[in-house]
Amino acid sequence: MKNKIRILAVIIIIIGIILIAVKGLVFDLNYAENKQIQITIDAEFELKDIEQMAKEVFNNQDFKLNIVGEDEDTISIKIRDYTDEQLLQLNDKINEKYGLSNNVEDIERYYNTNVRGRDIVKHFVVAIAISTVLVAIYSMIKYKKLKPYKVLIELVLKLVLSQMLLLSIYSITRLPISRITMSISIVLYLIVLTVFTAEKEKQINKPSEE
Amino acid sequence: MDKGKLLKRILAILVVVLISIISFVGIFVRDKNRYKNIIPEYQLGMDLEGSRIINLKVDDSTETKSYDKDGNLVEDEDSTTADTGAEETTEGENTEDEITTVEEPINKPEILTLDNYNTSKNIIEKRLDSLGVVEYTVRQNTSDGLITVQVPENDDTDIIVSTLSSMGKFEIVDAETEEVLMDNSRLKSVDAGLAQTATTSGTAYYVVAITFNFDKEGRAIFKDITKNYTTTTDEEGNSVEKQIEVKIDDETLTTISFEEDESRDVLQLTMGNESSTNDQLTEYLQQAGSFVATLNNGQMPISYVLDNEIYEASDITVNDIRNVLIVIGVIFAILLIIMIIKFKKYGLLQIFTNIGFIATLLLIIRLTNVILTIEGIATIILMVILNYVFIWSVLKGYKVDQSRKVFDDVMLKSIIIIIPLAIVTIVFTFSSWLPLASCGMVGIWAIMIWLAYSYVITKILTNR
Repeated sequence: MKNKIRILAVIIIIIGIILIAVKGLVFDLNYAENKQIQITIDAEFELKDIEQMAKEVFNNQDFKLNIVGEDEDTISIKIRDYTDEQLLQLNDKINEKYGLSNNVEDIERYYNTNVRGRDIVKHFVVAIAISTVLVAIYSMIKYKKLKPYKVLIELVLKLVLSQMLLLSIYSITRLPISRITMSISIVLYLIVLTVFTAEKEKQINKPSEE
Repeated sequence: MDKGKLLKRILAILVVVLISIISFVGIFVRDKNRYKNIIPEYQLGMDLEGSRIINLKVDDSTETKSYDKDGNLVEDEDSTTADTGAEETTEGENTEDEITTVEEPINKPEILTLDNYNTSKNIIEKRLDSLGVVEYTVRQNTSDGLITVQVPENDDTDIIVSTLSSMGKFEIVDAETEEVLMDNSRLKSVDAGLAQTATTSGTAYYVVAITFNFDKEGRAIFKDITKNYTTTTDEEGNSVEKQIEVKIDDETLTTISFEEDESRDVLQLTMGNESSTNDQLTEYLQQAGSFVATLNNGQMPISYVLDNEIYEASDITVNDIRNVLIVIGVIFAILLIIMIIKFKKYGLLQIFTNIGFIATLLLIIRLTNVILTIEGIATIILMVILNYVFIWSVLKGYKVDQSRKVFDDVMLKSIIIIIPLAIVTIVFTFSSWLPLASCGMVGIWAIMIWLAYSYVITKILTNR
């Protein structure tokens, strides 16, 4: 059973790597390039109402809706693309709902470029490298009975392959890389370390228990 | 079950209930005419609290410059014209003086290259690190150089905004002739901090001192400057002052001359005096920190201006958080039900053990002002699961062997297993990047709480 799982994992990783090379990864709107519009609403409003209007106008296209500005009277919508007609529709809906007379020309429009993947990851590299080295040294000493270099190779392989598996799953399922992705990656890193140590403890205690 | 054990169990449950009430509800005390919760609120990171979006655009304005017939700069009038187009030049000929006046772009077209855009972005990131900004994202549009910076919204954000848009040009010039005596190329580093000094009557007070350290050649040049730019008296007894101007981004920071016998190889400027209050000194320190961050990370090859800045609330709303908590709550309830089914009445008691651990961890996080990011919250969930697995192992052990040493054996094995986790969380705690530091702090507290809580509460409630 374990071997079947390993083979499946390897297949997923290979497919994932190929997909990343060919199609790349999908990033969510917080990281991908997007167009942003800001509309000031001089009235009391509920964000969920704006969200509903935006869903109707943008045909269920993925978007991110925030409140911006210290007075919290401006909404910001980030979306991959929109047409002038959609902007006009949204403006009309907001005007109708809140009794305003905003012009489409007053809507502020911005273009946000993407955040580079390496810029997201680079802040984590040093700390993760240092902790991996320290854990590797600890494991090699603690489990020296199981051959230190074997322990090191197994640890590094498990850490690397688990992250590649996560990335491959993202790539295959086309799930967008978002702010939650790094936290999942870190938690996975912690889980792999914990499980690895538990396995080594079991291995090393097996002969004494028998 | 003997009375002693029963009493201990009841006490443990009461402690768990009390901690849970404090953690999930709070402690309310009367403050004037209202009740105030004295348990601090959760401190949240940028993703959850909101942020400031700062857009820096390439300065496309122009400045008027005048040249004589030999092409020498005659007058550098700092009259900038916005959006007139970088390539336009106008000539105003004055036949008497033969002076040509042209409109020159602040940023010449040849410097607007991809390399310079990247350099500018890197310098901005270094400035953010120097300012101690623990969380940020920086985007750059490589076609027009627009840089968008997202930083946490707090008391330091305004200083950050002013620091980022500065070019970082440092000059020491002759106050009279405007001759540039020193510039960034000779500047090694800039430090700032509080320095104690005294009035003439001997009363000590603090000022903010900014120290400009130069390289070897720079120190020699500055020593010459201190010898040449002094206050002297001429033959007629008049005071003659030769002064230098210290300029940052072409704006004069200060004008100084030196005493005749003064010879220094570092430049030190001070902000504040004997009547400066602590608040003023704090403000000066912030400004000095801005100079340090600007000048220590190189001069920007391109001049940027602030296009706009705006506060952006988190797109993770209260509803989103509520939905996530509901899902986590349901999953956790299912796990507890499985525990109850497997271990019957001993499983039932573990409702208190698990909830008590969560309550204790969340309470300590609030009391110690740990800043929670998405990574920190994920670590809380992981630690709760690990605690659940630990309790399961103890109960499983007791099913097989009802002796007292089961708990100690499982505890010892668990401590060995989490040592790598402890190493990682300690390393993360020292990271200057908030998401990692949050994960580290939560992890460290969770491990320490787990150790204490297991011996005080879990041992009693799992014991047969």
